[in-house]
Amino acid sequence: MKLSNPGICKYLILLITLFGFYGQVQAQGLPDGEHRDKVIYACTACHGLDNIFSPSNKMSADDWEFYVYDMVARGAPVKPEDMQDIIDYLADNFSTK
Amino acid sequence: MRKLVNDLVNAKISRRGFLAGMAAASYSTTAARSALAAVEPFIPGGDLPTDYVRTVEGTGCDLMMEQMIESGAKYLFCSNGSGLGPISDSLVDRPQIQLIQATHEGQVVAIADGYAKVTKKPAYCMYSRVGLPHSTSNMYNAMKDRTPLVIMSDHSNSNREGTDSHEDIDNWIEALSQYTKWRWEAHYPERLAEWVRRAYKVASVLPGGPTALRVPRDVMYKQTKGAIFSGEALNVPMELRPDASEIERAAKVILSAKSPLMKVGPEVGTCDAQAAVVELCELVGIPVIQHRSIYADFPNTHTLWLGEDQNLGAYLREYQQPFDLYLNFGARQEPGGFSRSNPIKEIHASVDMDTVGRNSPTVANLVGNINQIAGDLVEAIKSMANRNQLKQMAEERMRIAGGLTTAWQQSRLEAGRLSKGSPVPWQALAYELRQQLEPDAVIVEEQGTEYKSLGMFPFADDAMMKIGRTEGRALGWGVGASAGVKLALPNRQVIALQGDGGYLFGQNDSLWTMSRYDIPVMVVVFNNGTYEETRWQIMGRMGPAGQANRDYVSYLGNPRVDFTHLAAAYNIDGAVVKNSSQLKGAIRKGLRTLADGRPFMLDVHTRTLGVGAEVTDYQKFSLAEQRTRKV
Repeated sequence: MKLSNPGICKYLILLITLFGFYGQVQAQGLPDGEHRDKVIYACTACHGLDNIFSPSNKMSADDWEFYVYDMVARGAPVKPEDMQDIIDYLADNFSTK
Repeated sequence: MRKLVNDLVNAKISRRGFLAGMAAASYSTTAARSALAAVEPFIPGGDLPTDYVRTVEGTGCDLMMEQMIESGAKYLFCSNGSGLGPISDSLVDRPQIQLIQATHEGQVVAIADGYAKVTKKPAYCMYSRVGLPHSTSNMYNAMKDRTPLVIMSDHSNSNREGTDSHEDIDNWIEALSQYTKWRWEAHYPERLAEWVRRAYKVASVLPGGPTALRVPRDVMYKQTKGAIFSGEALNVPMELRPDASEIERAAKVILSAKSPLMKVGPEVGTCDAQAAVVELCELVGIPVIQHRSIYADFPNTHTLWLGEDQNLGAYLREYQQPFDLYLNFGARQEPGGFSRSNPIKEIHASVDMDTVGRNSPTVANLVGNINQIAGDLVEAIKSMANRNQLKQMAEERMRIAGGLTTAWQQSRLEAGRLSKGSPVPWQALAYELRQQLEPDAVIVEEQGTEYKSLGMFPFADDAMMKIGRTEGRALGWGVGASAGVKLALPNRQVIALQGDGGYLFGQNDSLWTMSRYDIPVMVVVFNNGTYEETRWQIMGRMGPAGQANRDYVSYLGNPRVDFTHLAAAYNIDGAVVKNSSQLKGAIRKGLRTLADGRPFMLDVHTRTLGVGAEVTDYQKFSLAEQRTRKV
């Protein structure tokens, strides 16, 4: 998963946070699903969605669980009741099974 | 105040004129009298209170030591060097100064820095004249954080200096100039106490910073007689009030804002202004984010706490009013302020006249002690709006921010609780520490990407305390600093959170100090075998190295360092944890060791992630294989 230098990208982050433009453009590629919006809000607060789409991403369902816990612990703005929904959406749509 | 003091000591104004000038500058009578008392000994022709100055006969170094004692020094942080000879002689009759020795000058400064960041008073260091280059990394960190230190060393003898001789260069002062607030080479033994006093004073006055004093060794050994100034004469009141008209303007702007946001920075902690800032934010409901800081400048469990920039979007989705006022309290100003592309009104509050309004335009510049600024703003706002108006203003923002803050904190803890495995997820380690640490534990942090672990701990005046990471980011600070923090707070649990990469920037030297003086700190190494932060930056930008999936400088796994073996060399016990199931027992063992009065090393193999996480390749080279003679 690619994260950026927080110092260099402060203003990019701000733009993403305030306007969600980058995330919205990328989000068009996210498959429909019950929890799609939760994924967009949680992930694009800090970074783009490239890493989810990346063809080199060979993540298992367990890996997604690990990554989501990691990101939430880092401060991704996710409510407790949404955590499992986000894991399920990513595992259903982007895992190697 | 600076001009008034200057005029007074240069006999341009009378004492009465000084008091009148202070009153005109909004200082209270008490503060004005206190300032006058502090300056009194330096007024030409003035009557020196007899207890303000005393004369001491002895070596030049005796005078330095006496002045240190007068300033309230308990410790002198030092390393070895023959330049410590004069100090050694002076200590024989001055047991009230306790030496804390380290085996490397860089760690001497780190230990003193940790001590000073907690006490907020200058800490004294002394090391060999050639130790300066070693020490500059942490001197730089201290300067960036404006931490008050008095750094002393010997210097070439008077008859040799300036000759490019043994252990000398032509200009040591120039080498110090970027890393110190003030620096001097002192050549008159009878004036050495005066220079120590000056170094202390300059270091302590906000914004603080390291000062440096070099003294030729023969001058320190020379017999002399000189004045020692009482500690009272060092007391410069720092209750600096901001300009009253700026406060009034700022209060009006705050009251007219539809969606204010505050960013807090290290000057809040430096000025002990957390409570006053909380009161201000609660008064009108201002959500708060944290700038990089050595302190937790706002309680991270408070309902108005939003954490970092990344969380603003979630707040705005619910509040639905774009920010229209940005209050920067005690942080360095970002270029362009809140956002270059979307500028909004900014109020900057800082104790540093050089910093305030430096990088972006502002609607009000509040120069003064942050505690005073927040207090004055509270009073001004209360005088302009009634209680019901204020309550109405604050209510919705507090409700929204509070709901989010509580939910995110629950999620963080839940993510930590649920994370398991081998290597250990860092959040599992942080979660388990949170479960077992004392409610008022002190966390000293020097981590890279895993600094986010700090979000697991509750920081507030009545909860845990955070020190670090430095603004300068020069690695090799945290272990030493944690020893200094423990010296300042012997009755609070102190835990150093350290990345393996940061630790390996020469921090073993501080284990020697911890072991020698029974400084019970638990050093927790997040040992993921990589400089994760640099790997993310270098490979993540997908230049040639990233595209080739090559990690040239970040991989640390060969050799994989066993930090408990390093600790064992210093007679410090430890534990290695490779699976989250081992965490509970290992942490418990460590905390028991601290209770018994000894330091402890907890080496936790943590999982790395992100770009290049799987890469264990590096530019292989073996000199042994290239030899033609196997000797």
